[in-house]
Amino acid sequence: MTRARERPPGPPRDALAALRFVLPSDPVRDAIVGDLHEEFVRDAARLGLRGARRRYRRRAAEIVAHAAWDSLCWRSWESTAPEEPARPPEDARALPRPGDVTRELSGAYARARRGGLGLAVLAFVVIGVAAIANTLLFTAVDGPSPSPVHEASILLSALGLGGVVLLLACASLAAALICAGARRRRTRHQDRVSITYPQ
Amino acid sequence: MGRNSFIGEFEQMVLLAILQLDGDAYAPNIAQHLEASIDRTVSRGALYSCLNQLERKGLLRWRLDEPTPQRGGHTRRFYRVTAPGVRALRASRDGLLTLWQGLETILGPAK
Repeated sequence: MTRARERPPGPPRDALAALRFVLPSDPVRDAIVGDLHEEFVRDAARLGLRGARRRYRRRAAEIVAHAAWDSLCWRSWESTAPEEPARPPEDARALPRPGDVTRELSGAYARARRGGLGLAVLAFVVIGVAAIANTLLFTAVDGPSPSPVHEASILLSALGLGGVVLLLACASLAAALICAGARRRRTRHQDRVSITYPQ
Repeated sequence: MGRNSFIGEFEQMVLLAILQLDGDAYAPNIAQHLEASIDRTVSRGALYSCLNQLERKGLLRWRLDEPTPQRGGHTRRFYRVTAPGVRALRASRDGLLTLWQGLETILGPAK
């Protein structure tokens, strides 16, 4: 007797996994997953499970594409600080409490861990090219020795030198991109601070 | 006026939808409201990207709601237009109205 495989009546796991992979670990991810879940439940009642899953996948793909592109353009979907309820005024001269410093440090650590997808992709590309260049370099150095043909050793040396040049070029490109990203973020922050709209 | 002072067409639509939803503005609601108003499908990716941009520009603020079982235990982000957001919309409207003036003979009257 064969038993049909039953899927749990929930959103498609592959789409959910893609969302969790691309979106930063942030309140924005939790809210987006919740929004899609809410729409999935609504669609399932109207279109059936299959139609709802199809829509969920389409929406998730749109979100993943936009989030990945924005991340590559240094516009990661990280939240700004949430709106806080009005607090009673505190004494400005009061020293920071130990809890405040701990919270600031843990926040800084979380922000550093989240990072951006763009930087991760760039790091992978640089590491990949560096590995290839390294292999070429050591092929040139530790190649078949003594080379039976003089031209073969020249060719291997040229490959090794090419690898080194490629590695240096990639490192320079990565440094330039990181510097440009930092400058753009700084400029954007200054623009945001200096935006003035007419009253 | 700086380059970032202007807001795009879709950004304007999103800000206006949030203002019209008045306290009940979260992403699926905004998308539904826009789709009903402009009779066009709104890409969820474009919407979240736009919300992120507006948030970064300081034109939007957000707050979290309590997680509910209907949302699979996930939170909900409600958006609110900030004072700079309202000023940006006003500046955009004034600029567009100035440009629209005197073109009734070519474009016809507004519906």
